[in-house]
Amino acid sequence: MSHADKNDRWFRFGLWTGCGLLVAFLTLPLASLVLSVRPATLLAQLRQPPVLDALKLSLITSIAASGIVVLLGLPTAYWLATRDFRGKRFVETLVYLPMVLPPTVAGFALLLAFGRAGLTGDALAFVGLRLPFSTLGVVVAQVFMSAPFFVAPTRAAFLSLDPKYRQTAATLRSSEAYTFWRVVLPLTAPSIVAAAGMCWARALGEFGATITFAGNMPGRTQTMPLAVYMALQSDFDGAIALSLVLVVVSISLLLALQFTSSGLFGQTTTRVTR
Amino acid sequence: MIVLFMIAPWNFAITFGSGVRKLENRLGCLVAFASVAACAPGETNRTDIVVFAAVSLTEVVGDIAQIVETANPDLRVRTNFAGSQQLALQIAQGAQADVFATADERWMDFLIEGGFARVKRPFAANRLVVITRKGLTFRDMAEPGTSIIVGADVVPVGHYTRRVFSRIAAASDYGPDFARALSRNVVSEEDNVRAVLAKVLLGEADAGFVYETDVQGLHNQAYHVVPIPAQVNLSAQYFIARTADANDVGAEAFMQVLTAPAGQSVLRTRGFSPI
Repeated sequence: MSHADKNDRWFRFGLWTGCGLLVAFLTLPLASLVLSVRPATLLAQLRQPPVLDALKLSLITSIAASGIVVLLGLPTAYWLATRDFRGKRFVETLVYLPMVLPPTVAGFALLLAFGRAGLTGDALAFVGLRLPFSTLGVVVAQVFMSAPFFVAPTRAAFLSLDPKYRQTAATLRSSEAYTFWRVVLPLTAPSIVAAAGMCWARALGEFGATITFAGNMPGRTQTMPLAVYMALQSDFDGAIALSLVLVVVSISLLLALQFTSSGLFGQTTTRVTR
Repeated sequence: MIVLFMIAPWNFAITFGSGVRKLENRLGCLVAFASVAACAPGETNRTDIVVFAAVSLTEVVGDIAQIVETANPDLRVRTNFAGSQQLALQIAQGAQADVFATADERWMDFLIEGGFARVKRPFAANRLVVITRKGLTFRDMAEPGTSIIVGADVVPVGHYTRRVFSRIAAASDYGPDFARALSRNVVSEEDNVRAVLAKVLLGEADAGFVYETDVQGLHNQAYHVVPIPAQVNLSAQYFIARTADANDVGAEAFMQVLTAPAGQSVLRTRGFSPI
């Protein structure tokens, strides 16, 4: 065979091996989780009040947090996509920081900022707000950690929009606001929905910042990930049941987003011409 | 071995063309050889003793470890501190440990029944206290609006706290309403006692139920220690055992020091009551 064919075979072999190893590595823990379930105990576990409390709390707080992030993140993403200004790189870094900050560190920083003894503690107390150890505190922690997961892809979506649409709208004398609502937003809607989905998934899975800032109180601040963490220290069956619920919810979310018009990560294959 | 080390760099140089006649290559070989030789194990082999201990024993185990290492230069103590429940579960899941020290009997029995530990020995006792904002008394703990942090029930300190609450409910001076008010004031359940202490000292809560030994020697402008009335308080029993697959020499050395006068004196200094 020719030299080129032989190289291609090795290349494909390398692709398969690398891909196979990673996929196997990612699948094995999930498979183990599914295989450790005892169906008889699973349903009984899912009906326990602590489990139901955690599930309800997780859903309410993560949806609230996502709502806040979308509300505040849309203007942020649009601003970062369309304006250039001094210190822009710094602002970008700040906005994306929670993505790479260890969650426990973030939780601790939130305490120092919004805790009773923190920087804004007195101001918050004046307004009657007490964030640590409250459900609102859970939402705050989730907003902090999941915001970049919405802002980053949304900004990318705004940037990837063909400039000719906005230019055309401008030549037709439409204001920036009108252009945004009637042109930009409808065209980037699928990507924004996907970004909101990512943000929600991150908020749902948030653990480190929540347990540090909001504490751990069943019914009030013990979200699903915290409940799993505590269950692991005493009741394995409970932990397995909770973990499965979280996995099923996360997988369903990702699958649902994959089947929207642009998918989660946009185009999934590039045509490679030989 | 040494001959191999000496040949290898030369082969390296020859393979890459310019051979060993060039000065750079000879110097390179020398450096390569020296760095490899330097990596050869120079220390004597030390045996590790791995101690998993409840987090309230942090300072005690540190002191005992120093005594053990000074008396036995061939032993090195490595430690892992966490809530006793986490340590017990880690050992049950296969974590390597030689000695296990818990703050309550539940988790020691859990390991013994599972065959992971052998022969438990009580070695110290502790008491609970309340650390609270200055100006608050024990009665203030039941006032609406007071925020209390406790350990979760799986954690020894949390379980002891709940037993104290039960004893408060049964005590004539306090009664069930007081105990209920206390439970209502709990705002967070942590997974080890030092986390309880940390959250309280950060100023986020008004009070926390911790061990007497955790707050020994505390100098804080905003917080002080309030004792729990003797009729409702209880004694926390600490147990130690070697694990099923322990290194017997190391484990025995550690446990001997702990139960010897030197160890007992360490416990007393740190605020524990000897058994």
